[in-house]
This record gives sequence, structure tokens and C-alpha cells, in this order.
Amino acid sequence: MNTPITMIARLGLRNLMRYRRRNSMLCLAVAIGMGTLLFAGSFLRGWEFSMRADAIDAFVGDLKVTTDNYLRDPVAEHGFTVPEKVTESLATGGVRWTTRLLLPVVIQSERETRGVTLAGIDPADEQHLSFMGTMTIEGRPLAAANDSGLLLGKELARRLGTSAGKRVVISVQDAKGHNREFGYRVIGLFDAEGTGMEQAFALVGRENLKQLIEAPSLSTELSLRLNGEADIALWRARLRADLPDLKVSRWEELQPQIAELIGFSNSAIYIWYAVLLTALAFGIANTFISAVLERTRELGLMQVLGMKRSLIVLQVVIESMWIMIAGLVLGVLLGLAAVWYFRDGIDLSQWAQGAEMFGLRAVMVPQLLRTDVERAVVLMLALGFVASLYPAWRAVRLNGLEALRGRT
Amino acid sequence: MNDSVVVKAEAVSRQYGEGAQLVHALDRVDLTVTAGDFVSLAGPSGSGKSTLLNLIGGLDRPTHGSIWVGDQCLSDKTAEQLADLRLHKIGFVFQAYNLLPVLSARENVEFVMQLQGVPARERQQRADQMLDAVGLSSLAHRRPGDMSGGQQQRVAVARALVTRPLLLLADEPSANLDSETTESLLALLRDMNTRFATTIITATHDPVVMRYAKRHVHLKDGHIVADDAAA
Repeated sequence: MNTPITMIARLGLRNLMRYRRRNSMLCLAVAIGMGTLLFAGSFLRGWEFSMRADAIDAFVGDLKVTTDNYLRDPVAEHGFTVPEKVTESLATGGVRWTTRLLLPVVIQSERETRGVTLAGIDPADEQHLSFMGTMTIEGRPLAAANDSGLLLGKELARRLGTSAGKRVVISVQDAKGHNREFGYRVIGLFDAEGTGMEQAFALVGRENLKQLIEAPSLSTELSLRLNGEADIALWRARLRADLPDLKVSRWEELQPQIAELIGFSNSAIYIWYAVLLTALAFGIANTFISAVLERTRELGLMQVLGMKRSLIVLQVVIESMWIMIAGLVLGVLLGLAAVWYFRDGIDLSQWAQGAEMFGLRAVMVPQLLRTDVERAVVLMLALGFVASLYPAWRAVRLNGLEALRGRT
Repeated sequence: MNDSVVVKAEAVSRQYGEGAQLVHALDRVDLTVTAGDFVSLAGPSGSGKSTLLNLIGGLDRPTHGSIWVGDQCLSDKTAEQLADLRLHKIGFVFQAYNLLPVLSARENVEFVMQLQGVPARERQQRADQMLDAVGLSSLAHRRPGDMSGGQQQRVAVARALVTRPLLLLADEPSANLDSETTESLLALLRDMNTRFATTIITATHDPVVMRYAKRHVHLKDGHIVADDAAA
């Protein structure tokens, strides 16, 4: 290659080696900035992921089919029957799905009475659809959809003053609007950490509950777990076509607060980027200005010898970009190493009670997205470019002759 | 303009400052330098010789008057056009050598050719020939920091001449050299002047430099007070 740009790039590299100590420090600062940016960003992403997963796991799914009325007033009267052609299409479509019967009930122990949600579920389906796949149980789990036992959330059991082995009474309105009461034995207490589900839910076998309220084909919801946005869009359209009288909602529509919190977290990541990058920009610009001032004579010489101003700007910018690129490579490695080191999660149990308020689990697993790395790299390169423009402008403002004489 | 005229300065003035601080560094100077000349601009400090050299090199602009280098009038040129003119028509040798410290002797010589876009093979060949001509082919890979002042000045001369410029401007080229090195450098300049018919204008205090020049122009207080060519 014969272009002046090749020469400028080579000059830039050699100048980096010439001012090794200063450039190493700057490179290290960029690397630490980048590493911190990625690691802190991965922590926020981890929070987002856990919030999203918890929201979807809370008997929501990626898509949920209900009646419109059920969303306003979630009672058995507002349930529906899933047509056979839909269940067949779901069964052959390779998606994870289930139907549920979620009803507001009054639960009564020997000591307390509380309003809770009674969830009639198929425990086999739920293993891959909801928090039930990861919850811990003291006592016996539900064996099947026709199991006649009841699982209580640990915290709910504490508030009711009851425990495994005891009986509770459930009062519920059936599909015809009649009040019914059933006795259930508490077979176990579940704990779904960080989700808040254990405070408000009692779980029973779906088919058993249908039998008790004499509505063998009733569901209040059809819930699906899908793989990615394309699948969600596809099944949403398909279900809307097959079930025109029902409402097909995404999880964000059903859990708008969580969706907003995630949106806020996304913005927080970019605010965090902006704050760190601004601070870094001043440091970088300052160092680059020093680099220019230290070399006024050389830059003056280049002008005198006939180097165009555009090439002098390019020279300063390329030197800056070399440092940025070296710092970014190191920084990405640093960020990846930090995320890898904490791959099993960061234990927040010391602050777990406070953390739970913010939807955090006791163990937070950082999540580093490729798009976050790419965005951070592009932003840092843009920052390096912008930060080098002022020194470059200073360089071309030099009077070549004066610079040669050592006067700027 | 006559083809053999390399530099023509017409009623050139250069003033610095204003009001009571106004300094007339050059005052209505006329000078014509023809191809193959070796001109020394001499005179005491502040006489205007370096100012005139800088104006001819397009490194400064006259307050009044006009300067021509070859067939190009410098007055109406932009900074970028002047840079282009320097790149293709003028070679510079400075008092303080002014080599790029991170480049080897050969790379320094190649530098201007690279700006001109000369192909790599031709560039290297010409750089080697020129380093050979200044007696430094064995030091081609050395960086300026590893060379003596005289050797650095020879590299600077090689860099200035390798592009076969129309004009070589040398500002106090012997100021930092001992007498032996000065003689050797001047012999080299004269050789180049003879072999390549390169027009050389040098600003100097040094009588040794003047001895090598073919034409002597004396300046005092911004005026040309003596010029061999006029004699």
C-alpha cells in the first residue's frame, strides 16, 4: 500500500510506542472504563432478565388467551372452553402450552381468613411453563391434574397460621355465579423465591377443581411459552384468527409495570453509558491534547513539508483510535472475564429483603448481551473519535513555521 | 513569466504588529531568482532574510506585493494549495534538522514522496539513491536519535532533494554544525545544485555558506542593500 493513510497509520503506531507510559495509562483507563461499563450493564441486564422471567413465570407466559371480561373481572363466569382444533394445532405446533383455572377465592384456616388466587393447574405442564419448575416444596408436590391436595405459598401459610397436613376451607363462585365451599388438605408449602407468588397463591389440581365446580371443560386462560419474537408474532396472529372472540395478550400487556420497569432499566443502562463516557471523554481529550502539544514541532514540520490539514487531522484521529481500539479490546476481555467470574451469580442474600422489593432474586446472574457489547464498542469508538477532534483541530491551527521554531 | 525564472518577488512587504508596535520586517523587496541559482540571503539578525525565505516558501503571506514560484502566484492560493505547492515544488532544510523521530533515515526520506503518492518500489529506490548520494546508505535504518547532527542534516537534505523540487530553501542550514560538517554539507548542496540544476536559496549568517553560493543578496532593515545579480 502506498497511500499516505498507510504511512499515517504506521506513524501513529510508532508514536504510541514512543510515548509508551502515557499511552499505556490511557489504554488502561479506556479498558477499565469499558470493562466497568460492560460489567455494570450486565448487572442491570441480569436484573431485567430476572424480572422478565419472573413476570412470564407468574402464570403469564409469552402469550395468554383469556376473555376480555376475565381481564376486568377474573371469575369463573368469565371463563371459556378451548376449541379442540386449537388444542390440536398447539399440540402439533411444537410449543409449550397449558390451560389453567385461576379464580379469586377466600381461604380460611383455623385462625385466619384471606382472599387469595386459587390456581387449578396441571403440574406436569407447569414444569416447563411457570415458576413451578423451579420452586421448592416442603411436603408433597401435586402429583397430577386430578390430585385432590392443595399447595400453599409458604408466606401465605404463615399468615394463615397453618401448615402442611392441616385442612383449609375454600369459598369460590362457580361458573353459574353460585357460591361453593370445599375442604382441602394442605399437602405442602411452596417457596418461589423473589416472585411474590408464595404470598397470594394456592395451587390445586386443575381437573380436580373443574370437577368440584362442575365445569369440566372450563378454563380461564390458555398460556403459551414460545421461542423468540418471531414465534410470538406467529402464534399471536394464529390464535387471534382461531379465537376471534378471545383476547390474546403478550406478557407486557398483562404485566405493564414490569414492562415499564424494564424500559426504565434500558434507559438506565444508556444513562450509565452516557455518564461514564462523558467522564472518560474529558480524560481522553485531555491526554490527546497533551500528545499534540508535545509534538507541535513535528506537526508543524509535516505542514511545512506539504502535508494537508485533512491528513494532519487524520493523523491525530488515527493515533487516538489506535489507543481506543487497544483499550477496547482489553476492556471487552475484562468485561467478559468479570461476567464469566460471576457466571453463577452474585449473592445478594445480605440485602435480599430489600432487593426483593425491586424484583431481585437472592442470586443475581449478570447477563452480557452481544448487542450491548457492540453498542458499547461503537459508542466508545465514537467517543474516541469526538474526543480526538479537538486536539486535531488544535494541531491544524498550529502555524507550521512557528511550531518548527517551538513557538505555539 | 520567463521559463527560467523560479522565484519572483515584486514589491514585497511584510509587517508585523500594529500602531506603535508595527515592525516592517520587509519593505518593498524585489527579487528574481533563475533556475540553477544558488543564492545566499545574508544580513544581520532582523534584516528580513528568514522572513523572505518563509514568504517564498508559502509559509507566510506578504502584507503587500506578490510572490511567484515557477508559474504560480502565491498570493491567491489557499492554505491547502500552498501545502500542495510546497509538497510538489519546494524542498526545505532547516537549522534544527527537523526529522520525524519515529521514522528511520530512509523512511524520513520517503516521507514526502509518500505524501505525493509515489509507488512504494520507486520510492524506496529513489530514497536509497539519495541516501547514497549524501553518503548515508549504511545508516538507512537508523532513527534520527541514533545519528549525529551532521548525519541528520544530510538526511534532511536527502529528504528535501529526493523529490527533485524546483526550489530548495535552506534556513541557516549550518547553524548547528561544526566547520568540517558544514563544509561537507555545503559541498553536497553545491553538488546537487550542479548535478540536478536545483535552485537553492539559503538564509545564513555564515561566511562559509556564502562562499559556496553563486549569488549573494544582502538584506538590512527589510531592504535588499546589495545583490550580485544587480552588479
